[in-house]
Amino acid sequence: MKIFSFLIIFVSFTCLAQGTKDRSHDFPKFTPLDEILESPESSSGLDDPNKNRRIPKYIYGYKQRDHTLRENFNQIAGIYGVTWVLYPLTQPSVVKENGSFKNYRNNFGKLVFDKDEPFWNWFVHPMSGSQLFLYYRANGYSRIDSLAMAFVSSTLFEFTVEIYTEPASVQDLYQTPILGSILGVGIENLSMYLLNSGNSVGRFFGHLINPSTLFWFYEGKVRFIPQFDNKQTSATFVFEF
Amino acid sequence: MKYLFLVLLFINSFYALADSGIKKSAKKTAEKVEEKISSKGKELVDKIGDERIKKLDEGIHKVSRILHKNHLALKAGANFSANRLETKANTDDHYTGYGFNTHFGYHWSQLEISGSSYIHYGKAEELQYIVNDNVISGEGTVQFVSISPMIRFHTNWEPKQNYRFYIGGGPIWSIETVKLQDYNNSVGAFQEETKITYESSGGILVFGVEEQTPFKEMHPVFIEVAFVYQSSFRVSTVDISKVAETNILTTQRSFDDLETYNIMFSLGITVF
Repeated sequence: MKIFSFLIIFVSFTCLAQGTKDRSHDFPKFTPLDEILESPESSSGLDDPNKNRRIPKYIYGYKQRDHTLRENFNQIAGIYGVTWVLYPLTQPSVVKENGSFKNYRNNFGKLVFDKDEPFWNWFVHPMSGSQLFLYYRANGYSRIDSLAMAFVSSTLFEFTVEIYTEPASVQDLYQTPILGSILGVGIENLSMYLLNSGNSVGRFFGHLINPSTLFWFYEGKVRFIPQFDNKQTSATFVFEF
Repeated sequence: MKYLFLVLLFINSFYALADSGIKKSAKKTAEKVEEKISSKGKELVDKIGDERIKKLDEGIHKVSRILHKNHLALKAGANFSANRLETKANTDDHYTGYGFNTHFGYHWSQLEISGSSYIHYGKAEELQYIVNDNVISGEGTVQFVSISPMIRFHTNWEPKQNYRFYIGGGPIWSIETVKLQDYNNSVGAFQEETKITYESSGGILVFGVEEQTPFKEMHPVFIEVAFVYQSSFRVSTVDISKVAETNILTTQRSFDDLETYNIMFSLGITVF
C-alpha cells in the first residue's frame, strides 16, 4: 500500500512537472506590424521590412515646411547665443590662454588657412556641423535649407565668436557646414532607423546620435494608434503641433 | 472461386495502376503546358515591362533637356590623384593620393557656380624642403586641402546618352601639410614632431560629364578630371606634440618654394 501510494505521488509529481514545462508562457500579446501596415514591398511580392516588427508607440520622421523670415532670424539668433556659451565651456584653456579683446580686434575680418591637427578639422568640425544640420532638420527645414542655415550659423561663429582666440579659418568655414551636412544625412538615416525600431535600446541610441529628436522643437514625432475591429485593421496617426 | 477472386483482384490492380499512370502523365503534361504558357506569359510581361521602362526613361531624359534646373545642390565624390612636387631644393617627387571632393553651388540649366573642395592624402619619398634656410630631406605623408570657387559650363554634347560634357575652372587656394617621418636636416634645427605646411595658390581646370536628370533627388552622377597648378606663398612649421593645441613655430614668405601639379580623377553623385 505504501509503495502504491508512493508510486501515485511520484507519477503525479512527474505529470505536474511535465505539464508546467509544456504550458505556453504568458508572452505579451501583440499583432505583427505587417498586419497593420501593408508595405509596398510586400504588395509587390518582395520581403516585407515590417514583418514581425514590434508596434511602435511613436513613429519618427522629418517634416518639411516653410518658415517665415522672422522664424529664420530667431533660429539663427538662438544658435548664435548658444555658441557664445558653448565655446568657452568646451575650450576653457584655449579661451583663457589665447583669448582677449585685443585678439578679437586684430582677428576681426581676417581669413587664414588654419594649421590645426586632423582631429579638429576632420572630426570636431564635421561633427559640430552635423549637429547643427540635424537641429535645423528637427525644426522642419529641408536638407538644402538646413545646410544653408548651418552655413550661416557656422560663418557667424567663425567671424564673430572664435576670433576671440584665433582668426577665421577657410577650411572650417567650408568644411563645417558641407562635411557636416553629409555626415548629418548619414546620422539622420541611421537615427530614424534606430528610433523606429520599436525597441527602447534602439531608441536610446537613436536619440544619442541625434539629440535634436529629444527636444520640444522636434517636429517629426507622430503618435501611432493601431485600431482593430472585426472587419478591418487600420491605424491613426496623431501629429502634435 | 478463390482463383477467380485473385484474378479479378489482379485485373483491378492492373487497371488501377494504368489509370493512375495515365492520370499522372496527363497531370505532368498539363503542368508542362501550364509552365510553358506561364513562362511565355512571363517573358511577354517582362518584355512589355522593359519596353515601357525604356520609353519612360527616354521620356524623362527628353523632359530633363527642356526643364531648367535652377536649384542649389550638394555634390560629393571620391578622387584619385597623380601629383608632382617641385621644390627649390631640387626635389622632383611624384606621389599618388586618395581622397574626396565636395561641391556646393547653384545650378542653372547650363551654368553652375559652386564652391568646391578637393582633399587627398598620399605618401612622398624624396622630399627636400628649405625651412628657415635649413634643408630638410626625408619621406613622409602629404595632405592636400584646397578650396576653389568654380564656374562650370554644361554643353549640349552628350558623349554618352544622357551624360552632358562640361568644362570649368577657377582659382584655387590650398594648404599642403607634410609630416616627415624619416628625415635629415642640415643644421639639426628641425624638431621632431613638427609638420611643415605650405599655403599655395593657383588655378584649376576641370572637364567632365554629368548625368542629366529632371530632378536632383535622382542623384545624378558626375565623372570629372581636374588639372591643378599651384605655387606656394607661405611656409610654416607647426609643433604637433600636443593634438589639442596648434603651436606655430615659424612662418615665412615662400614664393615659388613649392610648385605642385595635380591631375585628379573624380567620381561622385549629387547628395541632395
